[in-house]
Amino acid sequence: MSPDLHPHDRDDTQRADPLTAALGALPERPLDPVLAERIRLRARISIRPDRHGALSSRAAWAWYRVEPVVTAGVVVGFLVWTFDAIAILFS
Amino acid sequence: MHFLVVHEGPPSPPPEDARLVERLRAGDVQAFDVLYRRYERRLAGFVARLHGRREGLEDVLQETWLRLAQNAGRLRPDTQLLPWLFTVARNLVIGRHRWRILDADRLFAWSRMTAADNPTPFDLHLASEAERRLELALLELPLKYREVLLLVAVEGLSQKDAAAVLDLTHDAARQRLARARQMMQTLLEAP
Repeated sequence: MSPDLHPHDRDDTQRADPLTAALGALPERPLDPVLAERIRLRARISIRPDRHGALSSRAAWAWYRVEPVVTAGVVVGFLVWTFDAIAILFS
Repeated sequence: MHFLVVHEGPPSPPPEDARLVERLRAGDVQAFDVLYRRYERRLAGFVARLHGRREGLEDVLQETWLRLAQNAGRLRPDTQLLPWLFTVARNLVIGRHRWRILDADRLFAWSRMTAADNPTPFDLHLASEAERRLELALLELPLKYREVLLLVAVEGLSQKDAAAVLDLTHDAARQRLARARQMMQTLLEAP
């Protein structure tokens, strides 16, 4: 952590105080293995791909990345078109 | 390009998780198994400590994993899986505690009984008295303080991720965490 960071910006997870250390060292509380396996088997049969499968997954990822730019472009385009229309009306 | 305003997006998931999310979205059952093995114990510990009672624990865990499976195809590519699981489980626990609010006294009594009169196998395996005191102090914290402390101090989430799980601002989460620490110290220093 940067030493000149404002105290309010510090993340308490990075403080090595005894309480945090003790809590972080608490042992795991695993489920009974039979129960854990039952939960896994019940849940996994409900897995369904998205509607169009893996190809769609890559397309969705690409769309997720470009969607803000496309949206911004549409909005700007609409504003320009509106401005032009108003300018023509009053010219 | 100066006319584009770039907003800070959500934090990126670990690379392994990103690949798992992609496979999950495609309906890959093996990816679910890998994910389950990776996070099952951490989720179980978080829910056990947050819920504070054995009754209903299995239901919460079952429902959490089931929701992940049912929503696998609709996960966002940048989903951080562990905080996602914590969020679902936390909401399920909160829902259960909400309608049991009148049962608070019994809950409190249960937490004491567990350690003293009717130890579970887990209690018997606690490595030390200090751990027992910590677990009991956690149980005595009000839920909203317990959850933030569990996420940050026990599970090691960043304050930012914990704030997202709890649907709080970063500042609110930090203040609640500071208050939770104070309350824990008080509980631990009590005779």
